[in-house]
Amino acid sequence: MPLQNDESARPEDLFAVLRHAVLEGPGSTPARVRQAVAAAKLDEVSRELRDYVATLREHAWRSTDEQVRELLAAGWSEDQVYELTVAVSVGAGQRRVDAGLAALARAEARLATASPPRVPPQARPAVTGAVRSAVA
Amino acid sequence: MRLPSLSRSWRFSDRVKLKLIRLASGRPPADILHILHYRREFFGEPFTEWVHQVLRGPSEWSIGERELMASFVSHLNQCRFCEGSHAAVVDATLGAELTRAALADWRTAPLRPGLRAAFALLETLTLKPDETGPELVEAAYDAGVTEQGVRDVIHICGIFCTINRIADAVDFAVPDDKGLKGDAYQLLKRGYAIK
Repeated sequence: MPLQNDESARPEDLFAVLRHAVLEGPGSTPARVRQAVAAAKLDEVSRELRDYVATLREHAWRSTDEQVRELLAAGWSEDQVYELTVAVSVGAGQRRVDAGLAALARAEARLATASPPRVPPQARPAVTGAVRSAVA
Repeated sequence: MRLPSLSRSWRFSDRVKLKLIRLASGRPPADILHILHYRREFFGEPFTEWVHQVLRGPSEWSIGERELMASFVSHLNQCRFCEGSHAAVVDATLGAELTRAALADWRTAPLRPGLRAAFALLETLTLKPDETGPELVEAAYDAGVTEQGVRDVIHICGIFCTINRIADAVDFAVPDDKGLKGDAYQLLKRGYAIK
């Protein structure tokens, strides 16, 4: 586990540590279930989980007390519902990181083949604030 | 919270820590603190290390700008707790007027070009991740953002697309304005890591 004050720690590595803990580490639900809900492989999870997983993945603000009550009534413990909630959420985060890094890689590839070559900005003057100083 | 047993941390030292926070602040700790300290090895510790590095580590983006991006992603995900918590940090750093303008319409808000390009990337990545194309990255480059700056933006999106879902699934209570300001002060003073 990287140290919290290690300024050289790469975000990609820290995210990998999180994914490992949530999707492969010890838990009250089998790791394969956590991995399935993280990847939204709904056909691989039990029927009562599917609606909850789909809601969290696409529009978590619509999740309801009733959905959680139904999972508890179906025999899932609060700890297991917590683990599954975190797993779905980490999966949604990974989807964004993967998509963003893929777009970045494609941009870099296009830069490498562009003619005349475009050069990404290197170090630039320190940023002092978010507000534009003159016009946009 | 919808899962009340999550309010009880597994470690005695964490239960003491949360009681001290309650005594010092004069109010119950925010729900997020309970979640982060509940079985901290499973989620809270690795998550906050990632968050602290991205939001407080070295970056071409100022802390206020990163917090503004955090609030924006949370706004897109309709997560009131996270949007309000991070907007309060932006209020304390960049000013409430900018916070309101950026969340109302980032296209017309007075943002510098690099930050506006970051918002364009964040919007697509949050709402339509499969449609995120290289042109958004190239637009950021054209606005002066470096490759590492783009990586930081991507990770901010990943972080808040994670925690927004947990906050809404567990149904975090949204603190009042005084509570949000108090939490923002602590986030600026201490950062995010819980170790």
